[in-house]
Amino acid sequence: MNNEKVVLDNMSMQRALTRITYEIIEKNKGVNNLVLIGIKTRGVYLAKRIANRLKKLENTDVPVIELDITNYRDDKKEKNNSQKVATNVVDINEKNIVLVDDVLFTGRTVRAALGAINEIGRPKRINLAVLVDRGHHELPIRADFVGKNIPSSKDETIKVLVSEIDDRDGVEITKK
Amino acid sequence: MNCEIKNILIIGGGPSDVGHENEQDAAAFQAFSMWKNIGIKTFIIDNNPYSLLLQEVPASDVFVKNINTQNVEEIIKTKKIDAITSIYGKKEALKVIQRLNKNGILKNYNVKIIGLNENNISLFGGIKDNVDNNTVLANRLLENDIPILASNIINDFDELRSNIEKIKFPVSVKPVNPIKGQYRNVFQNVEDLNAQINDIFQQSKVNKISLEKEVGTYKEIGMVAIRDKAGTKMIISSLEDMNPVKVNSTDSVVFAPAQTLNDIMLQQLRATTFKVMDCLGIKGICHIQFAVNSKTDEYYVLKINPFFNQETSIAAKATGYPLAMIVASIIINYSLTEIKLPPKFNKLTPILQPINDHITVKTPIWPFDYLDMADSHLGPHAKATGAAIGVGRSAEAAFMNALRSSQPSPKDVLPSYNYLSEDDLIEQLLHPTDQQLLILYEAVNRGYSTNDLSEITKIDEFFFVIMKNILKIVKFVKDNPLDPKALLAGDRYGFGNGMFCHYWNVSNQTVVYLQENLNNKKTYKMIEPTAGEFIENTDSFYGSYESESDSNQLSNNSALVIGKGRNHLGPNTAADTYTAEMLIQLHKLGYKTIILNNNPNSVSLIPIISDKQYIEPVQLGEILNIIKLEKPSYVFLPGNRHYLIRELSKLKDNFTLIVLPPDQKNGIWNVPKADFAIDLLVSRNEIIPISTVGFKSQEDIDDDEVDKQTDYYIPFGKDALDIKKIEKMAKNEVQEHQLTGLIQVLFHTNHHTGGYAVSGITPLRITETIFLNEVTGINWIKILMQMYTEHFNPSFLKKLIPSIDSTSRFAIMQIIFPFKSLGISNIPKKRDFEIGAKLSFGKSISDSQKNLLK
Amino acid sequence: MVKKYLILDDGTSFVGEAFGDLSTATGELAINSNLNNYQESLTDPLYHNQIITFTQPSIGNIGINPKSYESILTSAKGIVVHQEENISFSHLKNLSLNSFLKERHIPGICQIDTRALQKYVHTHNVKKASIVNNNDAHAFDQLQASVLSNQQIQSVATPKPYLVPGSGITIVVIDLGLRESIVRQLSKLNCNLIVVPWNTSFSEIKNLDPEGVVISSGPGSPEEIENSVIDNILEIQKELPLFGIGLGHELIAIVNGAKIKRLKIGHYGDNHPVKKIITNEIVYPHQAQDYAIVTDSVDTSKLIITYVDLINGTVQGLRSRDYPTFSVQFLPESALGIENNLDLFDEFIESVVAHRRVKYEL
Repeated sequence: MNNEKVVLDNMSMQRALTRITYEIIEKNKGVNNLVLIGIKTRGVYLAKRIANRLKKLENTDVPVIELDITNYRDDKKEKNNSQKVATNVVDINEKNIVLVDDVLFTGRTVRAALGAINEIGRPKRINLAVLVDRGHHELPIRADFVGKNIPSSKDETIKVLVSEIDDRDGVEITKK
Repeated sequence: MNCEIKNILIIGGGPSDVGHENEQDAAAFQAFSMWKNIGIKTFIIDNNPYSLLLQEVPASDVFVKNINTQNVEEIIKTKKIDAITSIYGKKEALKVIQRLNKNGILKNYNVKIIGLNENNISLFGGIKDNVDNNTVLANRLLENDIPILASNIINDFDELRSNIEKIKFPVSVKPVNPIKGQYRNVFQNVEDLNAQINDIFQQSKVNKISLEKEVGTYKEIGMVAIRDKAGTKMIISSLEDMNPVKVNSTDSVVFAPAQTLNDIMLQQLRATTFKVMDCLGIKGICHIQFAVNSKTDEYYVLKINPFFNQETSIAAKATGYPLAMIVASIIINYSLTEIKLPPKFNKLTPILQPINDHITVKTPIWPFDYLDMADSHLGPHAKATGAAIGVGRSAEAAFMNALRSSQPSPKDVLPSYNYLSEDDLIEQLLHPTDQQLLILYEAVNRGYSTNDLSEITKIDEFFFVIMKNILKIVKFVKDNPLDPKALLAGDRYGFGNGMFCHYWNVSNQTVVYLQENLNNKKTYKMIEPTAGEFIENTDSFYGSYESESDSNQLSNNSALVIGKGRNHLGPNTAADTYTAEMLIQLHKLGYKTIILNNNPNSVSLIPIISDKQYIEPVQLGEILNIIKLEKPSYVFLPGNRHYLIRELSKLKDNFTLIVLPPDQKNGIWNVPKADFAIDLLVSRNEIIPISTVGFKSQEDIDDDEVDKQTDYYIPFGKDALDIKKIEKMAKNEVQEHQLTGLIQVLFHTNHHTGGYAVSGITPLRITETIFLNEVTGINWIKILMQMYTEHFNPSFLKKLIPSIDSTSRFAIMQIIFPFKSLGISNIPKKRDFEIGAKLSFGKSISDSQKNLLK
Repeated sequence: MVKKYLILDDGTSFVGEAFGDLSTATGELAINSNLNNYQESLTDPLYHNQIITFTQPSIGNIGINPKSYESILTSAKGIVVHQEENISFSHLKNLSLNSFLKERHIPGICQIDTRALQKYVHTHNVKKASIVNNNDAHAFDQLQASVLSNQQIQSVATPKPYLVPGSGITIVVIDLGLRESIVRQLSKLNCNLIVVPWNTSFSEIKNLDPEGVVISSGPGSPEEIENSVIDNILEIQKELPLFGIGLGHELIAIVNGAKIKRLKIGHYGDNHPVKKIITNEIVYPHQAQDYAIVTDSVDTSKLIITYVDLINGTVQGLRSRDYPTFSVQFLPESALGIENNLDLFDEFIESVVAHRRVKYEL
């Protein structure tokens, strides 16, 4: 038997993204000054899905910046300076940013992302949206939009699957 | 939208057989015409000579070959096929595509699977296609919390003993990997199980058995649904078998929509159907069979059929939803909101979920009149060879219409079983046969309570209440001869004119006279998918006695074609294709065409090939009413309906009556023997020879009795044959008998002298006419239609006829029989027992014989 | 066999036969195209004041089932069918439809050409109808003169609050004519439900300390409802996650400035495709509406249109831009809480949970 357990099925995951989308509209009073930044890899797909939903509701194209934070992580020793930090970059000065990632765990990824964002501009405000908040934050970081809170033990792995690169949508939990 | 697909290969359904008529051919034909309209070319591989596609698809795109991997691979390699589909075929089609998918041929040649896809196609068609025998499919369904009957494999007696307490009876037990056959054994209690369990272990090659919850007495419910690329899902119709699960659906009376399920269960089945389609990624059509227990609210998925079959045909006919056209668009990647239907449909039709304001009932048609040696008991293996539907404004009317359409009586009279003893009746109730409906009727008539009958038969009480209601009206009619109230009550319940004639001992004219003086005249209601909410202009109608009719005279230049109706045995599917061709050709000649028929699987009822369809019993009263409304210029009647021909000939109306397709049995014989024949076209002024044809018996190669001649060869390949002489003898024979149309003159060779003589003359049989079409490349039904409607040009035709007997192309048509499906053997292979045929071409006789097998 | 007439307010009459109760009745004509949900419809308070015509030709096939009630009381005024199946199944010992109607004093008329009626109603302006014994001038006069009650919610909603206990989130359900399916759905999600009368004030609701509020579907025109209800909703919206269904949806629309119109023909069925705008999914929900929101009147700076009927273009769902408030026109709750594509109750509960986070953060 495999020890994967589905904690968020396809439908619940769609619903979570839909709700986050509405909450973003609610919090930002519309989408006019909004830029989404997705953290590679799965955060980008989730950000694009949110942008897609915003487009259908508001008929406005919200830009999605793809952020690669490999070089900014404090737990990584070797840095590859030739790697690009961000693609699809637009002007983010004075914008409302929603940073999108799949799982919020220690908070180190988010801190790295904030560092990276600093290099491309100075936004008015940054909010954080995550599909799963699994606890164990090691830094004072909280998400503003959460798909689902999933309490977990440290020896479990939480995996977000997106159909763009995985064979289906969903969130699974595995024991190490 | 879909520029990448230019050429689609359809793998056909193969010869007709038990449980397989023209339904897949009808769906494929509609796909062909839909794709043609948007510039997609259809290729077809099939060896069923009676397929309408073979008649209508350009010859260069038709491959008359057996359906196997090698033949399909060859087509893929030589033609630029972009997409291939198995949803218009049987299991062979599925297997061929599965193999070509597995061995990489499809990928190499860039062929896309449509209808299913490369990921889900391998899930279907396991050893037996029930979900419980297919572990990959079963696991996928279980992962998605879809209730299926999980089997429990027991390895030995030890394991059986330790599990015996847990077994819930009744239980169904099967040998795993059986030595031969695979029959389920149902046990009601542990004693019965003990008595036989050793044998079942021994029937297994691996000495294992499989236990499963027994649901044979549950209701069998079908759901027909579609799903598009955007994931939009819609239920087309629910279908309810009158018989419980243990009787094969093909052999059961079926109601559409389901009649005895409450909203809770209907919604549950609907949600499960959608979930199944989602989790299997089906883009196209799907028919799911469920076992349902209304008392405990349990249900299980029994079988998933992602292709066109007889149930999808019923769903389409019952709702008027243009199912085949929509699915043809969905599988080439249109979403429901993007589909454009022909202009006569409301543009909202594709996305409106069908609803009905009528009820449709299907009854099976049996081959046992011909094959009375076969076991006619109903069980898990299908035995019906045909189907008829009745449509009505009440369950009773729909039921009566279907029942009348299923009976052989030309005069609407239902056979009675009032002579059966009580014991025999109960025996028949417990072990139903093909006569089940009439037996149930008799039981209700004798006053058995509907509740008791339901207990005995495991058929829902509702269906007995329907019968009881009908019998109440039968009594009312019998007790009140010539009473208008009784007449109207009977009419409303779908009684035929013949029934009134029978009960009141009056002529049809009397009944018609009474009906004309009723306040409520015969009305027609449209079969359309919105229950009157939107204005639809679909062309299908059924009879009713109501306050308003939806049908008006179509045209003052119309042709009414009376369909053959029920398919038992014989040239059924051929006759149906013949009828379809008549409609197509009459339309091309400028007539508005009207068809009366009731076989849901037929190609002649495809909505796009006629201008109007009446789905009613093919009986005198119905025909007269249609003639009265439509005032057609021509009425075409099948030759085997002698009573109808007699009655319609009496009419002094303003129409020309033409008997076609001909009666197969209308020959004039010197001796009923033949080994070859010549086919001719005989008009009033000319006799045009077409081709010789050779016969062989599949029984014994030397048998020369006509009714055992079941292989046909064109041309009759004897070198020494003096064609001129034969033609002359044939012409003399024709002149002597004054027949017109397509005529066959048969010859018999004297084996001692080697000389031959004319042995008989007949109208060219239906099956052989279709065969002749395929061999000559000339549509002879078109020629006949031209001839009968005064549009015939003989000199033009003569130029078209290929020179026969000198070509290098030989064709064989071989009749096939339903003996294996019906579990009988040692039956003489006679023409009367035909259920379908296979066709093959070759460079020589031996070459085409080889192709027949390859 | 007793002759009866169905007369329409434009002077048309259809003749049929009586079944059920032999009394007469006047009501609005509602045409229902669902299969086998006659019991659910007859007991659904939103059919209050209505004479229900079923397009499905055979009605009563499964008798009356204890699990199929939408409320224990019946609200419909009458029932029109083509054919009535007088069946009671002995294995369930349940009532036949005919006996049920007799017991509830609801007249029925059968042997009506319901297809002709449906087509007629769609091409003519018919609102009211009566089931009567004679189709004489007097009957038509009475039909014309009849005034249907505008106290519809008062007649069907609970007069007293009650509890449907559950171990989960506490939700207040405002009863405007509650269908039991709403309770079933919320109970399935373990909610602790407090059902309150339609006119319960905001402060009373707040004192119950709920985490979210549902406004139920119900009968009649939203414009006949007292202003105090509107004011209440305005208050609730600002403080608590809010979910409106049917009439509840119409009221939420009004609160946020939209206008309501009466449809030319009410729609009662599940055959219309409804598009969920945020994902482009198409679903076939159960719809039962006589009124709809005027699309142009929706203030898009306050509301987002979330669902739309692809057949008649009506607004089927709304969401507030400023508050965790959303609503749907159709009835997303299905019998016994069966899983379907319309997981709006899950959406509501999740929105309540998300709101709780925000609240505690503040």
